[in-house]
Amino acid sequence: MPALEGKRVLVIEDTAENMRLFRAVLKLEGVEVLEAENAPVGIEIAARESPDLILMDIQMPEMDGLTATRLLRAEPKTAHIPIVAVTASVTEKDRNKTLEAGCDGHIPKPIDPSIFGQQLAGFLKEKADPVQ
Amino acid sequence: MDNTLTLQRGAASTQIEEPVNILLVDDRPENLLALEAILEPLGQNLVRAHSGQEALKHLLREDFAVILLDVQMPGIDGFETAALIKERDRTRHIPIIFVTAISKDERYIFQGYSAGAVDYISKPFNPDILKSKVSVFVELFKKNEQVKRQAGLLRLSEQREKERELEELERELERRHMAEIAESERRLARFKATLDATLDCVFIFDDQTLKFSYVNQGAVKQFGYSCEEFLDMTPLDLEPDFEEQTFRQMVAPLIAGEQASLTFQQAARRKDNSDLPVEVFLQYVSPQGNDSRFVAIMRDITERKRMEDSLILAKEQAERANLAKSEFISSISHELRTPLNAIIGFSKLLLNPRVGPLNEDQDLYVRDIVQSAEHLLQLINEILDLSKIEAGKLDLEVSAFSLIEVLDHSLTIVREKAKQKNLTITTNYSAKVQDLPPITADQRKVKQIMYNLLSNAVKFTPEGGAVTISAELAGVDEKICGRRKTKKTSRKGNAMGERRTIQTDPAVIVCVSDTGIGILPEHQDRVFSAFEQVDSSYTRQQQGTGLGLALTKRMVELHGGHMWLRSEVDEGSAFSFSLPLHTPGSRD
Repeated sequence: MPALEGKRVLVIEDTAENMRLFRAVLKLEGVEVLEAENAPVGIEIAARESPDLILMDIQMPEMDGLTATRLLRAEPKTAHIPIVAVTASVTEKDRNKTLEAGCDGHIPKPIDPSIFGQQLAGFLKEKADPVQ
Repeated sequence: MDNTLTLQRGAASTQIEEPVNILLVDDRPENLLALEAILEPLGQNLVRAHSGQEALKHLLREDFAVILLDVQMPGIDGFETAALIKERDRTRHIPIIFVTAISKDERYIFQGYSAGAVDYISKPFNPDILKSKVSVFVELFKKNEQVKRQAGLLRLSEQREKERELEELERELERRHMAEIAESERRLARFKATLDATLDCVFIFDDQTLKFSYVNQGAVKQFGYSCEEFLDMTPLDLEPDFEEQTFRQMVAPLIAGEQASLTFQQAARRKDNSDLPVEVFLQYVSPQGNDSRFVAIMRDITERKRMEDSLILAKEQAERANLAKSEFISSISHELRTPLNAIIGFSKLLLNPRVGPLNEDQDLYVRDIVQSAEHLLQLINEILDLSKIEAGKLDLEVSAFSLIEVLDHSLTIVREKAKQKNLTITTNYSAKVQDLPPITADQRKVKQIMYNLLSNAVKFTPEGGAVTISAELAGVDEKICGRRKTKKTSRKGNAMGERRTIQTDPAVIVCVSDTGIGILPEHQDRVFSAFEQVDSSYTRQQQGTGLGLALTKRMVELHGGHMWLRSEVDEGSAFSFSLPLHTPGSRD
C-alpha cells in the first residue's frame, strides 16, 4: 500500500471546522493539504495543481460535490485523479449516487481519525495500478 | 156417492182434470154397453176390449187406472189374461176387477184373487157398488199420478235449487276472482310505487332496439327526462361513453348466458348535460326463452365517489406526510453528522499521542466526549434505518455467503468488550449448520443483527457471565433451541401463527443467550417496540438507544424471518431469530 506521506491531497469542504479537522488529520499523516472552500475553487485548484487525491464533500452551496466530480471527470487534466466522497449523506442511495457521478470511494461522516489515513491510502493504490 | 165426491174434490184440489183410462174387457157387446152405462157418469175415458188379446194390445199402448175383466171369454179367458197382465212390469200394478156371471163360488173367487185381482164382482151387479169400486181405483190412480207428478216437481225444484246454488257458487268464484285481480293490481301498483319511490334508477329496455320500455320515477327525477321521452330513448343516450357497437359487445356475454350480470361504474349524462357518476347493474332477463329484455339498475354514487376521493386524498396526504417524515429524518441525519464529524474527529485527534499529550483528567473527559458523541451517532443511524424500513425504503442487498463465517466475525467485534467484563463466549453450531452451503441474504444486515444482539448480551451480562451463540436448522435440529421454540409456539401460537409456515420453509434459527439481568415477563412484549427500553434509567446507564431491538426485529422480518425472546429475570435472556436459507432478491 503506497504511503500517504508526501502526497498532495485537495480537500473540497465548505464547513470551516471540518476543513480544519481534515487538515489536522492529514498533516499527521505527512500529507500536503490543498484547501478549497467551495467546488468551483476546488475544480480550479485541481486543474492547476493536479493533486494525488481529492476529498470531496457532497452537500455544498453553489455547486454540489456530484456536479463537481462530473466536471472533474470530464476534464482531461483532472479525469485521472482519485476522488473520495467524504459526506454526511450516508444512505445507500446517496452512496450509489456518488459512485455513479465518478467518485472512487465513499467515506461517511463522521470520520475516524485513527483509520482515516489508511482508508485514503487504499484509494491511492487502487488508482495507481491501472495507470502502470 | 159421498165417497166419490170426496175423491173428486180431492182430484180437483190437485188440479188433475184429465180423464183417466178404464179398460173394459168382455166378449159380449151388451155387457160392455151395460158397463159403459154404469161408469159413464164418472167422466173417465172408457176403453173397450172384446177379448183378452185386444185387452193386451190396449195395455201395450196406454196406461190404465183400472181393468174390468170378464172371466168367461173365448180364447184367452179372464184368469189367463190377468196372469199375462201380471207378467209384464209395466202393467203388473194395474188393479183388476173380475166381473163374472158364474157364481159366487168360493173356488172362482179364490182363483181370481190368486190371478192378481183386487176385487171381484158377480153379475148381476149393483151399479152403485161397481161405480164406487171403480172410482176408488180411479182416484187411487190419480193419486198415484199426482204423487208421481209431485215427485217430478220435487225433482225439478231440487234441480232448480242445485242450479241456483251452482250459480251462486259461480258468482262467488267470480267475485273472488275479481277480488284477486284487484288485489294483484293493488300489489302491482304498490310494487310499482315502491319501484318508483326508490332513489335508484330502474330501466327495462328491449334487447333488439335497446329502447326503454319502462323507467321508474327515480330515473325520471335523476335524469330530467319525462317517461314519454324515455320511451323513445336507449341507454346510449344516457351514457355518452358508449358507442352502440361497444355496448352490444359488452352485453354479448349476458345474452350468451356466459355471465349473469354486469356491474360497472360510469359517468351518465342528464338531460341538462350534467354528469352523474353511477354504478350500473345490468342483467339480461329471458323468462321463458322469449320476451327477453335488459334490466338496468343505476345508483348515484356521487357520495361514494366523494368518499373514495377523500380517502384517496387522505392516503396521498398520509403518504406525502410519511415521505416528508423520511426526508426530514434523512435531512436531520445529514445535518447532525456534519457537526458530529468535527466533535468525534477532533476528540479522537486529541487522544492521539502525537497531538497530545493530555493529562489524566483531560484524557478521561475527551474519552467521555467521544463516547457520548458516538452514542448520539448510533441513535442517528438507528433512527435513519428505522425510518427507511418504515417507508419501505430499506432494500436488501442479497448475496450468497457462509453463515458461520458471519456469525464468527460478529463475535470478533464484541470480543474485546467481553474480555473487559471477563465474559465467556461459546458457540454451539449444529452439525447440519456447520455443513450448510452458502445462504442467500443481506450479509451486512445479518452482521448488524448479530452485532446488535451480541452487544446487548455483552452489555446486560454482569462480570464473569456467559454469552452463547447457537445455530440450528429449523425442523431438523430440535435439541438445541427446540425447547425455546416449543415454549414460544405454545405461548404465542395463535397470535403469530405465521411463524409456523415460515419455519416449515428451510431456515436457520440463531439464538444469542446470556446470563444477564433478564427481562420481566410484562416487559417482554415491549422490547421490540421502537423507543422503548425496559427501564429508562437503565438506558442511560447502559447507553442503549431503545431502537436497537426494534431495528433488529425489522431487519429479520425483511428477510422473511421472525424474532422472539425467552427470558427469566436474574437468569438471562435468549433472543432467537429465524432466517430463511434463501431470501428473494431485493425489492424496489
